[in-house]
Amino acid sequence: MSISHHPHDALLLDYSAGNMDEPMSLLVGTHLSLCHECRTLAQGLDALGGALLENSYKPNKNVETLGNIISRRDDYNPLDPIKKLNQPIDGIYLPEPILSYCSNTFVTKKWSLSTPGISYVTLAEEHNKYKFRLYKIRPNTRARTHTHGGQEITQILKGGFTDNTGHYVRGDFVEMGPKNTHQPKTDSGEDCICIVFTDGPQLLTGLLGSFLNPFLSH
Amino acid sequence: MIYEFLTVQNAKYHNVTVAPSPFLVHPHIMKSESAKRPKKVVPELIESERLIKAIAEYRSVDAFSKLSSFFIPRLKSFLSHGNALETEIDDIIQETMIRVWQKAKQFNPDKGQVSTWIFTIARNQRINQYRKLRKQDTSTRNTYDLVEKQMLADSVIETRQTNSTLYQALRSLPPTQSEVIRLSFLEGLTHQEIAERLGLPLGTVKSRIRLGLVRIRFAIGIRL
Repeated sequence: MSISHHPHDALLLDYSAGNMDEPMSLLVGTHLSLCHECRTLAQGLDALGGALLENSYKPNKNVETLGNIISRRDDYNPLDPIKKLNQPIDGIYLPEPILSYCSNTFVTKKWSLSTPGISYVTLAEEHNKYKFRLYKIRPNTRARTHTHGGQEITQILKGGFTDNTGHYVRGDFVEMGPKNTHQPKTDSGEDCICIVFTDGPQLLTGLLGSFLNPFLSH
Repeated sequence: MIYEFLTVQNAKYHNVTVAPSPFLVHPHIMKSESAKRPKKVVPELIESERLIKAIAEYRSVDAFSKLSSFFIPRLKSFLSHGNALETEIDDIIQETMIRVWQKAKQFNPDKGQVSTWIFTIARNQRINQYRKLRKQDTSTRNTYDLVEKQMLADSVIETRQTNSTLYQALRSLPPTQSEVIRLSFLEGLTHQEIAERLGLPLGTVKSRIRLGLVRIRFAIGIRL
């Protein structure tokens, strides 16, 4: 099945122009690794950035002297070459750039169990602002019905899930806004692996939810 | 023409060296050059690929100076649109040019023009510095470098003409659409920040970006 849900153009523009915080740029970057179509557009936007650079010459600007750059160039340590990591992390094959990011994180972190069948690792978070997590969900698992205080963005890396808005598979970039209420259920046959960015509390719906939400929101 | 010819002959006769008159040597060449002019091809730009090659293969300091004197004023002007301090901009430019020197071998002309490559390096440096200033974690490797690895495996789109085509496409957009794209690249504003700056609903900014990118997609040959 092919990818049918992509990041909005505004996100691709933010990404190419370099105006994104790390968690979001990891989400969009991971989508680009999996999606040829968005990657082509992102390359085009990079070229547009290059075109704007070429054309932004103003003759009266002071020209910088080169002395300090040239004098520093030889005592500069080149960046470490990027190691090719083909090994699965905890049994999971991940695409770049999330692979390298996780290979640093997993040294110190372990899976936590949220409800039966759903485990996660928090990759990054800022209190009361956002959470960025890697999820591993067993096949045929139904999450609790919930709505969102802010946005919830999911990039599926493996497997898939279905909710009232549709069926989503590997490669899909799924944006849920504050108004969406859903109860995702994972496909049968394999684990669903995804990275999820939330910038508001997840709110449970229903009677039990309204009782529990004050305790769960952070 | 004949008059010019005679002047030179006379000079020869009197054993005087005369600089050849431009009217004698190039009347037809000048005409064809001015016919090409409207395309506004910057000669340094055509040369920049050759300069990168000279840096990569011969570690030519001369080539590096030439490339720098073309790109540094442009980087300076490009980065000055936002609210970064002059010293921060100079740091970004310096880090960018050091990487151009270090990574010249990695430049692949099939993947895009020199200006695109330098833009992506400057962008990554700007992100690094922004995170450093906000004391965010910079220990993880740059996302963009890792995605770039993936991009290298892609089949190449026709990038030779793309940069000028893209610039033309941007200039041909209605001002409301080109404005949001310029604010994003030049002032470093997210689409949420653009909405705040212009006092517009987020949805309006998103749809302006989407409409603007229709022509950008067309310019790079993506069929919708």
